[in-house]
Amino acid sequence: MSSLSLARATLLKDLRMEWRSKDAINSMLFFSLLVVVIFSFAFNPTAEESRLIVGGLIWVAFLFAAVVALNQTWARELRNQVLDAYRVSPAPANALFVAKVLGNFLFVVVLEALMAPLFVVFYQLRSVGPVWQLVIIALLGTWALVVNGTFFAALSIRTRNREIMLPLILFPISIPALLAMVDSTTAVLTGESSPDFWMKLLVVYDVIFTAVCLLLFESVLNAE
Amino acid sequence: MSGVFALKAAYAVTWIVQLLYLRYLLTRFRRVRREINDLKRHS
Amino acid sequence: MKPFSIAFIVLTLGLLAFSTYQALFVAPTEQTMGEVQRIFYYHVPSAWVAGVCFFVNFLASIAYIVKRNEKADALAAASAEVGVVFCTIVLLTGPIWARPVWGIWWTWDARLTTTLVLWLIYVSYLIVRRFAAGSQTQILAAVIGIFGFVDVPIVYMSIRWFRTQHPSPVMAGGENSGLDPAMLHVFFWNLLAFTCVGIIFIGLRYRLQTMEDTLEAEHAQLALEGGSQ
Repeated sequence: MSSLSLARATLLKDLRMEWRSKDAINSMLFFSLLVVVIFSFAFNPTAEESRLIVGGLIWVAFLFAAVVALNQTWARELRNQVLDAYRVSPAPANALFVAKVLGNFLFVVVLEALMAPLFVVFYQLRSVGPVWQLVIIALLGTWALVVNGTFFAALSIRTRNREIMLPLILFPISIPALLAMVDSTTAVLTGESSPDFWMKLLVVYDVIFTAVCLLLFESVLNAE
Repeated sequence: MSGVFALKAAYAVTWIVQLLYLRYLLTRFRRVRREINDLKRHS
Repeated sequence: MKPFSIAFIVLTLGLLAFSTYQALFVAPTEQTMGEVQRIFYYHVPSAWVAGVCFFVNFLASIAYIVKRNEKADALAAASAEVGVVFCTIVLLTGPIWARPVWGIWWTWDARLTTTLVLWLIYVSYLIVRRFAAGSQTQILAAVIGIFGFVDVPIVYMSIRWFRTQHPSPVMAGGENSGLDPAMLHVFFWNLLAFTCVGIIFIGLRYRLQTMEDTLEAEHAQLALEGGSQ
């Protein structure tokens, strides 16, 4: 099987399975609703104040959505011993990795698209800057979280405290990307500064870590 | 907090952390040596 | 323990005593900050040692991923732990210095925040090594070591930019903002002393790691033999 068709097959399979079991989507939407409500107790969600704070809040919610998605997809693979099947197949490991990342990426982006309206409605959010910039930031930022997250999720899959290990490892390393996501989102929402540097930083971060992941994935998959 | 007090505190903290780490290492060394000896005796 | 090691330890202790004496009594008093500035002679060398330790961890982690060499893994474990020890010293002495001089314990400036993030990354490394069970642990740790180190310049750049957007008090202490030659002299003595202390700690920790690995292998061997009877 060529790497392209393997990647596509894996991707389609993952998407189909996620679509059938809607657990993650439901629980993440509920979690977002909780975040929105609880944080509204902390400040008065007028339009001006919201714009300053929502950048951080929304990425907290997206971050947890990403972690839930990541833990889930690899756990399913482990249950069905699919990883071993991939190891014996002659297809290159990177194809598998790319498929997993794309699958997680699409899944989290869909979650974000569903969660965003909650923030808009409850915080009377109206962006001063252009919305297409927010979309680009969301895509770049999600990729940053998902590419590293998929990599670490694959590794921590057999470790004992798997669910705790993943965020523990992922968050510190993601800090510059998170800073960029939050600050650029706030910059666009408030229109007070330019998000350019942050967006460039996200691109640099994405490129560097995607490359590092691709370089290392083959070696680490064959670890055992 | 006065300057001289801070100076003493900072130097003390540095030594304390290093000594605590040293103590931690020595404790682990003792344990490993004991277990190796146990193993030698039983084999 | 080998006589060379003992000699080195004795030499280091002497060096540390000498450099501390220099820092406290020989170095000239700084004009604006006064005596408290002497913390510099402990604070910056600690940061240097931590940085070197993490760089060693980076190289050892790569070596482990590429060659699966157990010695590389032992060195990675040792250097990460010693690095965290010195990084902790930096994060403790920094605020102690800042409080009397600038009136605040902490500020989110580029250097401090980067140091904190560095600390977080390598503490997560240590936690994974300690609490993750399974054969993947060493690989996982090596990966964190590589990712973490690659991340550091990005962390620094991102916070530097954040600070130009949202300016706040900058703790200028430690930046080589024109050091008096007499101070530089004392600084280098302390740098040397701390580096030697770091080398000793890494050496000890490395030895401990190899001993524990051997012990574990022996246990596994016994279990294997016991099972086959």
